[in-house]
Amino acid sequence: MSDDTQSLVLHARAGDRGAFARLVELHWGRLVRFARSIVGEAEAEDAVQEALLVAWRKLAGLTDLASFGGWVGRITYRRCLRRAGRLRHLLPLDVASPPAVLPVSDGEILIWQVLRRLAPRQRAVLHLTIVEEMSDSEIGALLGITPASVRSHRRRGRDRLRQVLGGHKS
Amino acid sequence: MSDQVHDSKLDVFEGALRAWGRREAPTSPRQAASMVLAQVAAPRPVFPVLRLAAVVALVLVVGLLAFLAGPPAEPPSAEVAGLASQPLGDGVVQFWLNPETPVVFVLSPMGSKSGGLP
Repeated sequence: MSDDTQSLVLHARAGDRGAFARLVELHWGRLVRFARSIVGEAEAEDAVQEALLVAWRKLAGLTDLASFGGWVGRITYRRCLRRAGRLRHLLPLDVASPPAVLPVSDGEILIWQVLRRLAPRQRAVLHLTIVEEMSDSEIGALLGITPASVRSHRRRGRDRLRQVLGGHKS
Repeated sequence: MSDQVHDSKLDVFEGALRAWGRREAPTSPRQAASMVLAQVAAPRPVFPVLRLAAVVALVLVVGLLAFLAGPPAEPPSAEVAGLASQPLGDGVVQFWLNPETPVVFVLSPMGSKSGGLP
């Protein structure tokens, strides 16, 4: 898989659009899942498309071919942070204001309604921890922060979740 | 007690988040690749054309500047220099269109012999 990716990156860097298309196919699902947790369903695919176009333009600058997955993940993360910043100003007041108590039951949880009350960085860390089951050092490498910062974002994210889910004052 | 309640809610939420977060993307990878490729610029025949256009534009600008600067100044020919230093006779008016081109008028009464260079 890694050799495959390296070879595809090498060809894509030389202008082979077919090779880049294959890279998109390989990484699309993971990137959209990641983006969905940061910017929500409606924005996720657009954010990933933007990120992939940036990746195509900057591919010549990628020196470590094997790191393509993390590199494009980081570009996606940055695009999502930018979008999340814009979206924050568009939230209706009842959603933007803290903390509403939401009912949590097995079948009926509006995940995104809860997630959007967290900071985008906290959403990213929680996604990579819970959904992708990555280690702190892997998450840190992807987001460009230290493992200690990963733990800090996760702890604050969980505190905020407790607050939102139960009206708990932390 | 209260924290335990909240942590159980948190556990339920994280379980739901795991399932929610692992759903497939609405657009299939193959479709996505087509959509992305449609927006990716075609590989580069544009660049040599632009470079050629830039060179042509540069040549035109240099040519235009050289044209506007005019030909290098040359000393007037000996004939013209002699003409310029010659004293003018009565009724002769001389002016210069440019350093090479004198215009001479000889003013004479009506009916007299026509003029010429004094």
